[in-house]
Formats: sequence, C-alpha cells, structure tokens
Amino acid sequence: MLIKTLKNRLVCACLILIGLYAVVSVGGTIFFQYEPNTQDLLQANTGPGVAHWLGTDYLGRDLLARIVYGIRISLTIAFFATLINITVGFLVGSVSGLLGGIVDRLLVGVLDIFWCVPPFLIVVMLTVALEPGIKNIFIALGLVLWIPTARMIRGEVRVIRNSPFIKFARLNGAGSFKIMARHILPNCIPVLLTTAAFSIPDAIMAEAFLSIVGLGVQAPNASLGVLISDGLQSFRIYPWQWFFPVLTLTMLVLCFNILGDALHEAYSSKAKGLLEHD
Amino acid sequence: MIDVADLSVSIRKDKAVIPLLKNVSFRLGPGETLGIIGESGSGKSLVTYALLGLLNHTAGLEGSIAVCGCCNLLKAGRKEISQLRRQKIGYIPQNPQGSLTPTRKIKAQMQEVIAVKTGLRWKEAANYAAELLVKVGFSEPGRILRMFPHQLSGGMCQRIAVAMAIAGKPEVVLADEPTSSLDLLSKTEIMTLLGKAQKEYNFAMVLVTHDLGFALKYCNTLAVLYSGRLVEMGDTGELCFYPRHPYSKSLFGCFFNETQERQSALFHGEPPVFNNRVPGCRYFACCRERITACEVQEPVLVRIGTGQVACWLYDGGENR
Ligand SMILES: Nc1ncnc2c1ncn2[C@@H]1O[C@H](COP(=O)(O)OP(=O)(O)O)[C@@H](O)[C@H]1O
Ligand code: SF4
Ligand SMILES: [Mg+2]
Repeated sequence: MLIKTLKNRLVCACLILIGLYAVVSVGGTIFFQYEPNTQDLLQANTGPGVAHWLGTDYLGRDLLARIVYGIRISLTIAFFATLINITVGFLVGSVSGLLGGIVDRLLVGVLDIFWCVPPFLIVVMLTVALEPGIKNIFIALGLVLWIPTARMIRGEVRVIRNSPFIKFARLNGAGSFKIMARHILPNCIPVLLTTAAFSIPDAIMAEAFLSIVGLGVQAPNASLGVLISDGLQSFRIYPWQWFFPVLTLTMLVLCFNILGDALHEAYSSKAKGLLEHD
Repeated sequence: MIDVADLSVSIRKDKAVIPLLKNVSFRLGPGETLGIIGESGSGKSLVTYALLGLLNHTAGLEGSIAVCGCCNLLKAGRKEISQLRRQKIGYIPQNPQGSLTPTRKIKAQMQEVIAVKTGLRWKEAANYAAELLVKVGFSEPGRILRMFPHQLSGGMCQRIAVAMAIAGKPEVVLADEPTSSLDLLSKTEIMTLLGKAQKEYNFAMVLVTHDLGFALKYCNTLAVLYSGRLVEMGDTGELCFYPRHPYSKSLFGCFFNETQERQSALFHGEPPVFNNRVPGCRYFACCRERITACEVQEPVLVRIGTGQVACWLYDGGENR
C-alpha cells in the first residue's frame, strides 16, 4: 500500500523535494560559500546574479544562504512541534478513549475549554510568556496543535473499541492489554500519521506568522518567516528579497500537504477496499 | 454441557424495566446442536452473549447458566470467564470480514489466538495455524497467512474464524448467524466444516440461524424465539413438520410452502415494540388463531409431546 503510494509521481516529486530541502538545509555551508549572517554592506541589496544567486538583503547578506538556513530553522521548529503534538495528542487521546468514565469526561472538558480559545491567542501568549526563541516557539506550537489531535485520536479509539473485530478478539480470549496494544492502538496509526503530515505545514505557517508579527525567531537568526517579514519592508524596490522566501515557504507547505493527502488517501482506500478506487 | 435455566435479561430505560429476554431455558449435551431461530431483534444474539459472559456487568440479569463445569457463568469473575473463552468456548461471528483486525496479517492474528488458547509458543503457533487452515479447506495456507483480511472474501474470512474457534479444541461452539452474510456456496461450505468439526471434537453447538434448511440438517433441537420469549422448543423433526405455536407455523409454512395465500397471511398486524408493555401474548397482534384469553395474560411454556410451547391454545397440554 505504501509502495503503491510511492508510485504516484506527484508524491514522489514532493518526497524528493522535501528530501532535497532537508539535505541542503542540514548541509548548509558545505554547499554554499556564504555564511547566512555575514554582512557585506558594500554588496547590500544587489539583485540575483552570478556572485549571489538570489541576491542579497539590506545588510549585504547572501539571500540563498539565509533561505537555506531559514529552511533549517523552519523545519526544526515544525519537526519538534509535530513531535510534541503527536506524542501528547496520542497519549491524551488514547487514554481518554480507552479509559472512558471520569478520566474521559475530565480530559474532554479540558479539551473543550482549550477548543474555545483561538489557538493563535494561546501561541502568542505562550511565546510572550516564554520569551521569543526557537525552542519556545515549538513548545508553544506543540502545546496548541495537540488539542485537535487528541480529539481525533479519542474519537478513533472509541470507534475502534466498538467494532466487531475487538469483540471477536475479546471472545477469543485476548486480555485487555493485548487488545489495546495489538488491536486498538495500531489501528489509530493511520489517523496519527495523517495528522502528523498535516501538522508540519501548519507549524511552518504558524512559525512564519509569528516571525512576521515579530514574535518569532530573533535576529540575526533567520527563519522563513523572518525573511518574508524583512522582504516585505522593501517589497516595492527589491521584490526578490520577498519573493524567494515566499516561494520556498509555499513549495515546502505544498509538498507536505500533498504528502498528507496521499497518506490519508492510501489509508482510507485500504480500509474500504476496492470500491474507493473508481 | 450447557444448562441454561430461566435466563432473563432486562434493561432499565427511563425508570421502566424493559425485558429483552424472558425465562429462556435449555440444555445441551456434548455433540448436540441447538438451533435458535426467530426474527431479527428477537434476542437470539443476546442468548449467545449471555453464554459468553458478555452480559455479566448488566444489572437486569436473572437465572443461571452452567457451561463446561462453570456452575454459574452469570456470577463468574473476569478470570474465570476469560479462562472459559480460551479453553472451552469457540465463537463464530456473524460478520467475518469485520471481525478480523484490518491492520494485522492473518498469521499474526491466528498466532495470537492460538497462543492464548493452547499455550503454544509463537513459532509453533504458526505451524499449527497452517495446519488449521488446511483443516478448514485452504490448499495454500502459507499464502493465506501472509494476507490481510481485506484481501480475502467473506467466506474465506469465515473459514479462518472457524479455524480460530476450533483452535482450542472447544467443548462448546457458539455460532451467531455464521452464514448470514455469505453466498450460498460459502454458506454450505461453512456449515459442512462446522458439521465435520463437530464430529471430530464432539462439541455442543448453539447455532443461531435464519437458514431453516441448515437448521433442519444440523440441529437436534430447535428453539423458536419471538420478541425475547421462548415460544416453542422441541425436537427438530417434530417441530418443523408439526409446529404448534402460530408463529412457528407461519415460519415453517413459509419455508415449506410459499404460496400466495400463505404469504399474505404472514404480514398480519405489526410485531410489538420491546418497550410497550402489553399484558398478554407478545404475538397477539399478528396471530391468526388468537382467542380472547390471549390479550389478558401472557402464556407460559408448557410441556407438550416431546417439546414445549407457550401459547394459550395448548394450555391444557392438549392440541385442540
Ligand atoms: N445494549 C442494549 N440496549 C438496549 N437494547 C438492546 C441492547 N442490546 C440488545 N438490545 C435489544 O435486544 C433485542 C435483541 O437483540 P439481538 O439479540 O441482537 O437480536 P437478534 O440477534 O435476534 O437479531 C433487540 O431488539 C435490541 O434492540
Ligand atoms: S397465545 Fe394466543 S395470541 Fe399468542 S400465539 Fe397463542 S393463540 Fe396466538
Ligand atoms: Mg443477531
């Protein structure tokens, strides 16, 4: 099933592009001659050319190097935010769905309360409270993103709990622990994977938003959001300073979204059989 | 082997007590088969659930069930019940494809069931699984073991369920409409398998079914449920050729002789809803032979011939 998904060319292209982004951003200075934070005021605001492929910014820093570095920071934030998201979301959701009773009611109450507050408000408050910075951004994002994940997992667990195959396993003498570990939780993985795939672009976008309003990554470090916000200031005169970071961000988010869609498709068609393919 | 006495199940809804099953009793020895027939919603599955200890947490549970040396299943604890399910009782589900976990291969699922039921190690369990698959008619067990449930047809899944049920050499097999979701060929295949397995292991079987043909062929005793009441029970041959209760009459009449006349007589009034508490016979609204006594009081099960029937027409034990 996964192999079938890989055969899809668009998905393949996305995977390759994401891989490329990851390699280049991790490799960073191995591939490029410029440091992202080295200033060269004589070269300030030059357009794309041979020396600086994507041009330079108002302090003469190489835009390509800064974008590559920005991808690294954005991906790091997205990765850790998603990690927090699915870990906490899965734990809370499955505990709530499996235990039921008072624990479930309490957790659902907490989730409902969080659900009523605009998520960005919480993120902004958290980043202000924790001081802006890479680590605190992904902590704040992770702490907000897990709420819908937990609800989703809880719903999934409750549906699976009542399905005939759980009853059959129980009637074949399986104990509660084995039923949980072998029959209920593995069936939540598709939902969890899909959530994770969609949570990465969400986190990237959220980070960009935070950086644009000034709550994100602090200078001189550059995330894609910081680059976009810098580019915006001289958008009319030096459009490339804004255009390239935006293009990069868009491509990155698009790739992850296509990947998430493909995963979702793959798992739902697997569960429902042939009829879904027509 | 199985001794069910006065089993009643009721639920509480808005302070009213709704009986879902009332005073069901039967006995079954090794190698014997009891067929439970009756329309959908009459409580057939509930009987199997009670036998599996699934209803034990329910409040409105009365009577007693003795199965395989467990004197009162309805009072048994968790441990005792899971012991029973592992070693004594095999269960065959109604919906075979939905009853296998979609994310696991057949091999892992069978290994798990076998390990739990027989105590074999994981690797030995795989060999036993292949052996069982051959027994239920697969010629290439290795290939089947590597598959996921959604790659198999309903009939194949049901055969796997049969294999799982007989893995622990059970003393009792409960089959809840094992053939109702299958095509005619697979139905026959599954019933043949069950018959063969019964000969081999000599287990007592409770067969819930809508297929009267199979009921006649495989059951020693038949029990007719209507609206949660045992309305008639008796020797298969006698009950199907000389049904006494009006409901059984129309059921078997319909089965043996589907003339226009009979069919029109079948749909006569509407069956009762569980929560309306009529004082009289539950079948009153649909019955073609009702008498005035029927509306006032509910008939009780009386012995007549070799069987039992609950109908005011036979109150004196005589066929009028
Ligand atoms: N948990 C429950 N709560 C309320 N009613 C129930 C419950 N379980 C079963 N019933 C009722 O019990 C009746 C018998 O159900 P069931 O044994 O599944 O019927 P059958 O298997 O004969 O089709 C049905 O009318 C159903 O509505
Ligand atoms: S008791 Fe009366 S109403 Fe009920 S089945 Fe018998 S004749 Fe019909
Ligand atoms: Mg049923």
